[in-house]
Amino acid sequence: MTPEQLTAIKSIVTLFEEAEIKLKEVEQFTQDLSIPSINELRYAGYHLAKAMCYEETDDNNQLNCEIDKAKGHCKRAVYDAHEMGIIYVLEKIKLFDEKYTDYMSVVVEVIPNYSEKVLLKSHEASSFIANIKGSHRDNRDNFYTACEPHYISLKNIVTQLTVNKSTIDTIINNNIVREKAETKKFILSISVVLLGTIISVLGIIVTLKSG
Amino acid sequence: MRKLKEAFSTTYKETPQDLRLDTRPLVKKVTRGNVNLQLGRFASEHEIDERRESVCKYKFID
Repeated sequence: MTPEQLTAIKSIVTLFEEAEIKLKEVEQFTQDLSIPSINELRYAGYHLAKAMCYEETDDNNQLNCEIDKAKGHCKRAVYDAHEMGIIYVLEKIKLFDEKYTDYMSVVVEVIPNYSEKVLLKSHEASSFIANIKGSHRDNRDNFYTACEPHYISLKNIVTQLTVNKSTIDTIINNNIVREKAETKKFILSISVVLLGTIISVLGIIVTLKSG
Repeated sequence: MRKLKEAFSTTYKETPQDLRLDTRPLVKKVTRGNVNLQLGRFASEHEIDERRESVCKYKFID
């Protein structure tokens, strides 16, 4: 094994550790385990083990090929872990958006940059993962670093939404209570007017009949 | 009409919390290994594909 190959194997170990950390981090956040990501690490381990079996007399190209494959699998494991996190967070944002679709004015009141920050970032992240799935699924390892910023920014957004949720709910509840009171007041006043009219009409009829 | 219905309905309610989250400490106490696996909380490639498709179809911006 040449010094370059040894360095390459050390870099695989670093990548493997990174993938393992990311996978655990996303698992704890989403409370869901990504099987594709674990599979990628399993394949990485297999190619790494194969690479370790080559001797100095063996073909260098094959050893390099195993090293490259192991690296690719580690990077795909990182990508898959982040993608799982992005999907989870997008689901949360989608639920939030659907739930408060009729109360968007309240949402914007509490989170002023909702459209620019939350919806635009969500759109960018969903376009990113859709594009990778559509055109780069087999070489998604090339995008393993590009995936993380989307995940981190969406994770922060979900934290912001969670923090502000109770404020939004309180405002919505207050608005509903106020609107209910106003509607009840309106219905009551209409009823009083109607009742007054009926009594007046009846009074006129009684007066006319008795006269 | 909607306002009229709301006026006589119950107040706005939040979605109930995920009850499965409450079972985690118990599962951790009585079993060994990964709690998510014990709870069946894992996603296969097929499931992830479906979830991705669902969120990517959603129009976050018009």
